[in-house]
Amino acid sequence: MQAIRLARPRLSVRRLTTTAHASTSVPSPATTSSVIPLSNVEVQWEKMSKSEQATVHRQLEEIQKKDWKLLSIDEKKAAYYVAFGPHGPRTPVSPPGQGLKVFLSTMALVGVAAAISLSIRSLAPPPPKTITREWEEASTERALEQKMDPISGIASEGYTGKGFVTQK
Amino acid sequence: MLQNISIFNTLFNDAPQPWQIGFQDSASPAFTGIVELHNIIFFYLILICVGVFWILGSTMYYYSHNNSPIVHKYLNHGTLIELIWTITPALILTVIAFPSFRLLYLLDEVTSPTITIKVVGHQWYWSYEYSDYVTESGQSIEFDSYMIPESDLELGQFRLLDVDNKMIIPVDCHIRLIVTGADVIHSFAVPSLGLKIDATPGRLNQSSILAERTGTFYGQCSEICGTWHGFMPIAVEAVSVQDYLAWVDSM
Repeated sequence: MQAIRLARPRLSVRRLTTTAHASTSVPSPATTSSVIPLSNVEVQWEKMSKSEQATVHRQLEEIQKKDWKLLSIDEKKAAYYVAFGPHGPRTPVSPPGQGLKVFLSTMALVGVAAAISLSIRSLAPPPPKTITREWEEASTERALEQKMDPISGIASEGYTGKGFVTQK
Repeated sequence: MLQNISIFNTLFNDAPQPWQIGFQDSASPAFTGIVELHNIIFFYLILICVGVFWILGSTMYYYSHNNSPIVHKYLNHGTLIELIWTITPALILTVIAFPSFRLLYLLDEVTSPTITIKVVGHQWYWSYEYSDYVTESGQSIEFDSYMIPESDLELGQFRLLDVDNKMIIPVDCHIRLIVTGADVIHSFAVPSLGLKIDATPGRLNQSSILAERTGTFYGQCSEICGTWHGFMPIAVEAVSVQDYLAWVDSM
């Protein structure tokens, strides 16, 4: 981070010279006349017009024909921001500072889901008669009679588990 | 509850239990082989998980926003690493395939069976035919096996598992199963016997059982077969040869 901070003042006045190469192919009023600084592009990006953004794109395309490692830190940052930054389709749905609103909305939806679930549960038939402690103890006894799991389970020597009993 | 998690206390049961995670108890060489294969493959699974999570973790650590704010925009291709992550899984799959195919072909083998039992899946019950025996009326032994409904369960019986007529087999005898379906595709599955075989209409599938101990082994239809698919359980009772002969005599 220190290197970036040091680099900014030096590069803030940087003007692109590569536009001259781009303009040799198809000169256009937007590209030939404008020289847009690449430092701090992420701050200016939203304020730029479409043609200015297109100019920056072209500038960066030319710059990136060089070896990536030879680019300055501002050029790398600009290239990365323009390609992958949070703008256009990648603009965050909720802007920064709305975390509480998102959290509360989510909790409200979870509450609605819980209410629906509980209301459906209230209409459900009672649990089967087998889900009682008495029945589960009898099931364990039956498992013992059937020699169920004689190696390391219910019917094994030294078994200390609860068998089928889950109710208190 | 922790005692019921397999890593703390391995569960082996003939019927599923509340909170069960591990395998049911093995009652046949087939299921013993399946568990063995599972354990072998689990070894490789742990190696793979350690490798994958190590790569993921180190990537997250070293390429976090704080450590590396500027990434190489064009670092999206590396021949060496791609060769490594293509060839290594291929080798691992090969290593896993050998014991898997060995077990598969062993399970397919039907070793000189003593008894042949025909199992037919219906919507929604099973029927069993012991065609090696003939009753006094000249018919082979046949019966249907329905789940006991909750209203008829006696205290201690297993809901959704117990049936009115169990399939009876003798222990320590090689038994051939001929499995088919009467209407739609079912699947005859009994975990502790290592059985899972499709019951397909118009086709006779073959499998074998060798029960190594007496007991009752529960299973369920394992192919979605309609509304009551979940209510056509399987109960196989392995008894001594004397008890088996007595049962056959009583039919």
